[in-house]
Amino acid sequence: MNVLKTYRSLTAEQKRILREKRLEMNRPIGPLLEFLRPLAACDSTADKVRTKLGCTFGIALVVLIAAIFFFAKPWTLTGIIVVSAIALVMLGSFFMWRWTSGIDVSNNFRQFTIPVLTVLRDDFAPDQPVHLVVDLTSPTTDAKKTGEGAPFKHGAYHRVVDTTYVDPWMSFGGMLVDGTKLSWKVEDKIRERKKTKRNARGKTKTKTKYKKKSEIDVSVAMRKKTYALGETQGEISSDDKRHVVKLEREVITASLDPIDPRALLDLVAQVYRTARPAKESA
Amino acid sequence: MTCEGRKGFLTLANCENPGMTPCSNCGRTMCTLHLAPQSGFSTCHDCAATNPDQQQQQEGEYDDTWAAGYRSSYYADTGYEPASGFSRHDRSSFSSSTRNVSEDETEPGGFDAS
Repeated sequence: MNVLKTYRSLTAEQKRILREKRLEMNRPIGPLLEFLRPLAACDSTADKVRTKLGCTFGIALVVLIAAIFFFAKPWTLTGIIVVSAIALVMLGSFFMWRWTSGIDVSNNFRQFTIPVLTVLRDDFAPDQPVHLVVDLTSPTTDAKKTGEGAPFKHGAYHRVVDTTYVDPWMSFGGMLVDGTKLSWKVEDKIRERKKTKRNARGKTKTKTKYKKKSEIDVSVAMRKKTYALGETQGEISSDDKRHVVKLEREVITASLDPIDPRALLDLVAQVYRTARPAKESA
Repeated sequence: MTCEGRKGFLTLANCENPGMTPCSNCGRTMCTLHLAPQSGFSTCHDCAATNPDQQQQQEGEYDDTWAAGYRSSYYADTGYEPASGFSRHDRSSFSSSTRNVSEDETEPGGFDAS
């Protein structure tokens, strides 16, 4: 299986990160991305395989029950072999599904962290370490739960329960080639709404909906020797050496899918749009 | 002849590595770093990013070719004009190995890293 091959090719440190689901690294951007890409590839392969394994388990279970009824009266050697083979497939797919779920990491890593760092890679000073912290656990784990509201009625739904989560899943800091210090933090605030109703046939149906507010805080500290800052949005301060611009942005989505990397890139680019070479301005 | 590839997103700089092979599409001389592996190192990342076959191949893979395509479309969509002209010399002048970096300049800017 591809996922096993990919997992075996990881280093012990990479495997530990998948198990612990926390990434905290200080490395230059090039080696950092080389380290992270195999993790992303493993997660991508595991995601694809997991769905197939789930389907295989379900189908094998149904076929196993049918086979037991078909071969049970009386049991023959062929019947025992067939039923055992189906049971093996079912158990194998179940255990593989559980294992791939165990190494699953938040999609924020593969669909936000990796693209952002890849786009900005050549902007970072190649020999200076950048500091990256990423929480790779699911955004709706119990540890991130901050509250659960009392059940209430809403329309056809006789029971609606809202649960809130706070997930500060990423922080980053590094020096760019032009001497600018760039850092950011991303925190997701999630509302999970579980709505339960009884349909006309008396069956109980529950739907789960999410609303996510991603808060992105960016700090861009530009060297005064290099840049003069024009009029820009955000909180601006300065010291002897640098202009510091702090910007915030909120992105609201109706799912747990990762936000578009552009939300962050736009904020940083916004500061660069207003910056002019210091010599030119002088 | 030096590589005609450009690197960066917020600021653009010339690659300045020795150029090895002309891109089979645009003809610019490129170093191996600026040639796309998925094209057999025959086209540059910018040209490979516009090739639909290669785009399909790299779906979900955020490599240098994807980054080149993303940069082009971002500039086109937003009108962003990157500061350019940072040469290798400029870049190395910000490097810790060629100058004394004060404590202030080595810590992550703005936020507490924790």
